[in-house]
Amino acid sequence: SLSLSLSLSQEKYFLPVRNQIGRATRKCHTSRFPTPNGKENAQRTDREELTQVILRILVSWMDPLMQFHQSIAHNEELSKFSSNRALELSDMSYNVFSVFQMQLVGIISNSLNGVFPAEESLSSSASNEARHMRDYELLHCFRRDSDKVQNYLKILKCRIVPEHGC
Amino acid sequence: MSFLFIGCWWFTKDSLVSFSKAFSSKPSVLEKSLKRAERMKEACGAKCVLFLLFVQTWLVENTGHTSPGKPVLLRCRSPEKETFACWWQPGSDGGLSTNYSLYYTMEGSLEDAVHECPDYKTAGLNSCYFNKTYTSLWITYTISVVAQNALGSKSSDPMFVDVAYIVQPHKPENISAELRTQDQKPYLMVKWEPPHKADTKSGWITLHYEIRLKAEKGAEWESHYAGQQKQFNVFSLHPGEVYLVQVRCKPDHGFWSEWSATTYIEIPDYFRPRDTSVWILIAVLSVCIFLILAWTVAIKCNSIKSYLLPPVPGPKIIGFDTQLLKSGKSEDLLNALGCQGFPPTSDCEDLLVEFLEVDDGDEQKLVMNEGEDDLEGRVKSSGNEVDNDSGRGSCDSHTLLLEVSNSSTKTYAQVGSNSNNKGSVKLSRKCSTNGKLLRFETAGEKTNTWPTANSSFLLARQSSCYNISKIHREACSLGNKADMHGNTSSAHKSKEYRELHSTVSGDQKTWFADEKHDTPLLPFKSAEYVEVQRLNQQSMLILKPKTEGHKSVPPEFIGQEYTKVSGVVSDRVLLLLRDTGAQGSSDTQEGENQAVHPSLQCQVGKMVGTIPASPALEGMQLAASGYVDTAALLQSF
Repeated sequence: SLSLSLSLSQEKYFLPVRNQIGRATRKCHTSRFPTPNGKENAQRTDREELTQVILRILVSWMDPLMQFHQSIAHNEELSKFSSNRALELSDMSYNVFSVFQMQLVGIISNSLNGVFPAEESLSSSASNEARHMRDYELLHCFRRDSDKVQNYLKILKCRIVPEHGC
Repeated sequence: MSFLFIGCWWFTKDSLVSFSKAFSSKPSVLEKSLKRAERMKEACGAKCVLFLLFVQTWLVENTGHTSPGKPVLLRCRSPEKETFACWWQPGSDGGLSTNYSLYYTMEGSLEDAVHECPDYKTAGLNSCYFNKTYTSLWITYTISVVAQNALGSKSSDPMFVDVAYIVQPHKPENISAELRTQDQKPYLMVKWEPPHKADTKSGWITLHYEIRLKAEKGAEWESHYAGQQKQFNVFSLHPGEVYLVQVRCKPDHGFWSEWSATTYIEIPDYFRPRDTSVWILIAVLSVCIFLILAWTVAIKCNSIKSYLLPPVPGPKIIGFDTQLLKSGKSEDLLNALGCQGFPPTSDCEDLLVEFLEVDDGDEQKLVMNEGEDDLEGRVKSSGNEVDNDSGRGSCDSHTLLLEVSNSSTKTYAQVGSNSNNKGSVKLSRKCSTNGKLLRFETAGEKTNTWPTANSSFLLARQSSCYNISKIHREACSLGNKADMHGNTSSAHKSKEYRELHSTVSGDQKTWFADEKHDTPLLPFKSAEYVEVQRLNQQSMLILKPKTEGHKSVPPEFIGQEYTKVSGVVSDRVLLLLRDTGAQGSSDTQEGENQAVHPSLQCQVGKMVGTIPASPALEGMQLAASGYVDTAALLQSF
């Protein structure tokens, strides 16, 4: 059930973000903790660890997203100059991602018996750091992390249920 | 160039020092000197610059070497999201050997750590290849290329690369196109495999596919997005054409691969349901037409038959009307024939020539021809007409159709035998008048008929033919005898006739029917002719059947077999006509009647008689095979 819900969530909620060659001047706040960054690494990681990684990423994005949404919504200058597209994107991303996030967090925490000792500290520090990021950097980091999570979820799905389009 | 600059600077410096010394004593002088120094400095600077430029160009023209041009990074690509490579475009090399080196920094590592490309060879010329060890995903690489030669180096603009977003896979592989039908409509099922290096099994890469096809003679490609599945059904096909199929793939964040190798598939022609219905319609129409034709043929069967197989026309005698003959009006018949005053009105019976004929009733059609005198007669049997049985006795019902052909000099009837199944031998009597033709019509099996004309004819000459029935009966009895030996060969029939003839002759010793000698022209003859054998002492005209010894007859006598009897005088004399066709010849004969057996046919009876031996008789040239035609015997009856 976990895998199925994971796969369903993945397909439905993750955003198809446009391909951009971003100029990373600053690291994303989520690069704080190690995540597998290669195929072998990812396949070497067992399911539980991978699931935890996913969860950690998702959790660390909860606050920055909320802040970002708020800053976009309340920024009058930005609403004047930028097109409604950015607003739509941020709205949508926040809404969808947050909803998905909540669900996923709930599911995974249940499966992992809710053991996240380092999450709160991580999230708080991460959110502080994220506050200083510029908007485009934030978006770039968000897009990358969402792709990473999607890839991890796909790996998990093909490991658990291999016959569905793997 | 630096030397020159130094020299220039020194020169400037000296001038400045001198000027400063000049202005060190007095302040106003100092101001003036400063101003002058500035002006000189400017002038000197400009001159220096100009001087430097001049020198530089001089140097370039003489040697041609410069620092390298700026290289340009073209692209970086990863085929399977595990390794990647970058390619650059070198600038001008400045005439000197220039080497290129690629440097990169990674986001995660220390910012100052600059690494150089680990592999310049694998990906080709002007490339850098990063294998698995050096590849990290979701990390931004900052890559730049530096061109360096003896005179200088040049670095390119940096490129920021995140490997996860530069994936361009290889082409899809193993493309198979299969033709299938669904509801009698063909569709194409295209299957393929992902490139073997892309790991889709573990979910590391997710590929989307696109298929395109085009008719060989078509102009544009028709593209279909296939999603993540590895097969696709194409329905928009034109039968009878060759199609080209290609597939390409793309990761969810990346670039489209190249189009795969072309697969050719031919769509065979097939019967569309519309065509089938057309064929059914054609079949129904043809059946209808066939039925109509069959009905038409059935209706018009006879006329078609006559058209396709025209009946063989029978012989036609000009002026001879069969209907008249049937009707029995002999005068009209003969008048139509053009004979005036014939028969002699006094007594037709004189001209009556009768001879007994035996017809074989076997299943044979006998055609008899009187070949000796080049007379041809055909026997025609028609079963259509029914004759009354007026003349025959209890014999079989077959009659003969006799068609007598006219001859120039003689007349005689020919007898043909009708085919009859009973195989009985019949004796049919023939009555013929001189110069007249008689036709006997045959009847079918059922009736035993004589032609009416004949019967009437006979009745008219009753006195001469009174014994017909009797003879007929006798003949029939004989015929029955012969029937027992009945066979189909003419030779046998001849035997029969001979037998018949012999028995008759045994009784009569005067005249009897005999078979005629077979001429080469006829297979069988049942006509029998009596031969005048000789004149015996009693002045009897002995008539003998023609024997096989006919051959011994001198040819000149063949034509003279027949003699007409012109008349009978006082019941005893046979007036024979010479064989000249003229009537009323002087030859006469006498015959007696007493020797005639009353049961014999009248002709015979009349013929036999005492014939006085006279030289006239010899003049008659009655040979052994003489034949007396008692055409003129009627009077005596």
